[in-house]
Amino acid sequence: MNRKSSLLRALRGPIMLITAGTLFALDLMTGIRFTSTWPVLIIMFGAMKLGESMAARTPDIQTGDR
Amino acid sequence: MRKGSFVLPVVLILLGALFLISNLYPGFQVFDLLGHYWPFLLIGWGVLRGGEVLYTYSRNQPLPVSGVTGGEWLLIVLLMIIGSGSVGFNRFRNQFSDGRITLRGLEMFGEPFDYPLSGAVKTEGKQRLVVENLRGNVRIVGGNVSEITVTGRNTIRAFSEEEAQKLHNQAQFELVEQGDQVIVRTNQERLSGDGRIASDLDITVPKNFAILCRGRRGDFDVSEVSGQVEINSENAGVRLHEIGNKILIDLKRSDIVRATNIKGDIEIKGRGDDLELENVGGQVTVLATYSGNIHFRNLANPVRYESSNSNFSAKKVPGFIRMTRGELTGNDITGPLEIHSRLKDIQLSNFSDTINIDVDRGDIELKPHNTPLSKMDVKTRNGDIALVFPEAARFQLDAETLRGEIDNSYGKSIQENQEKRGGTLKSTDSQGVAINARTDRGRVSIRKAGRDDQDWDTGKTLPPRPPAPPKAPSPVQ
Repeated sequence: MNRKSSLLRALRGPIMLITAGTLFALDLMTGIRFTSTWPVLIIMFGAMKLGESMAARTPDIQTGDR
Repeated sequence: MRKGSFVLPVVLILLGALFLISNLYPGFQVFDLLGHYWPFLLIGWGVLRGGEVLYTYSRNQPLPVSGVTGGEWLLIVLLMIIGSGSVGFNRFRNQFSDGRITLRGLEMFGEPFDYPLSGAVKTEGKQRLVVENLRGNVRIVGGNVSEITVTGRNTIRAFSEEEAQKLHNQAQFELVEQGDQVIVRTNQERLSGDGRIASDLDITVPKNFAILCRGRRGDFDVSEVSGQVEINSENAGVRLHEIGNKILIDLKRSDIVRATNIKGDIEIKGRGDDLELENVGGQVTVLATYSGNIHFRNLANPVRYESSNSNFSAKKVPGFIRMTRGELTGNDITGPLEIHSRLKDIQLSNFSDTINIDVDRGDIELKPHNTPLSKMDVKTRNGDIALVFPEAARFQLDAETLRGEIDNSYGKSIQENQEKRGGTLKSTDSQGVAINARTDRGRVSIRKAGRDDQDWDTGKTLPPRPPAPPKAPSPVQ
């Protein structure tokens, strides 16, 4: 695993947290309900995983594997 | 511990500080605050964590395996439960309160279908009406009739009319005669799937009937009956008018309980928001927490109110007592009067008999009209005390503030003693009733009632607070 993919993996938690926070904030402040927006979390999770595996495939010349 | 993970400690310190502030200042509603802004805590948390990861990355230091640890997720879930608890629950309660289930605007069980309900039964030898209706509103009116008539409708949510009809037949509304009572049953519990049916009923009963209502969600409106009225529900607004007998109300939740022109006693248990009692001939006992506005007016017999954070009792209330979250205002009250509360500003005018007030935090202002005065014990841990006494009053004042100003505009019969931090006011006269007032932190003042002094308004809106009396020039010695 190269450094870029481990960066993405480390960022997965924080980004999920920010997304969840935003969805709940929208739920509280506007009429957009979490019950209708929750699939965004799955999409985000999938996108992050995809990014990780794509980054893992491209060689990281700068630093190599950590 | 992993290097550089400062976010968790910061969040813990922040949460600890919030709860500490709410403990020190009861007025600071930490749960309200969390309830409204907790998603931003998640966002901030994520931003800090992400920033931390990016910083580590930019400095070519080894990256953590995951940006948010298991322990943190646990705390986040806990936070979400606490945060969404108050707000989410309120919203859900409102959504379900009409007996129909909609989830976020989406009809969950198809379309609503209405079916009329009706029935009648002769009331010879009967004395009591029992209404068992889980969901839906019930209105009962007493009249000079010799039979019970029921009209109303079932509202059923279903995907097709056949299904609705089937459910309607399944529920089978019925009027049952049992001993001396007539039972109105909507039999909603026979249906599977909670909340697919709501029954609204309009019932006419003979005036002398006793009424018992049981429900889960829906309002009860009872008027013009002379029998005892008992209402048990998990969530109901209750309105009672012209009842000639005792009233028992036990609710788990309620947006409003209003009872007017009641001849008998009233007993209320449970929880709710607003409570209004007016023109009550019997005793009033409220062993319940009503968190909205409480308004008592013209109660002819003893009243006792005990909630989780405030208690009061009075012999009767010819005038009114109005209580909001932070204020208790009253006029024309007959004591002995007792008030204990954690957080309330108290303003009372024109009361008689002894009075005992003890609050943790709140200003107290007392304006008795009648002389001779009765004994008063007034205590606040944090707040001002203002006494406005009639000119002819004879009393022995013993007032003290541990930290704050004293102000005597009453006259020479009271001796001022301002010390470094606090001070005392003491009567030089040794006649009259004992008036004890004490605040740990706040100003203590006494003055004579003037022509401008008015009673607290009996209107529904709270009166604005009068300006503080001008400070008397200090006597030249």
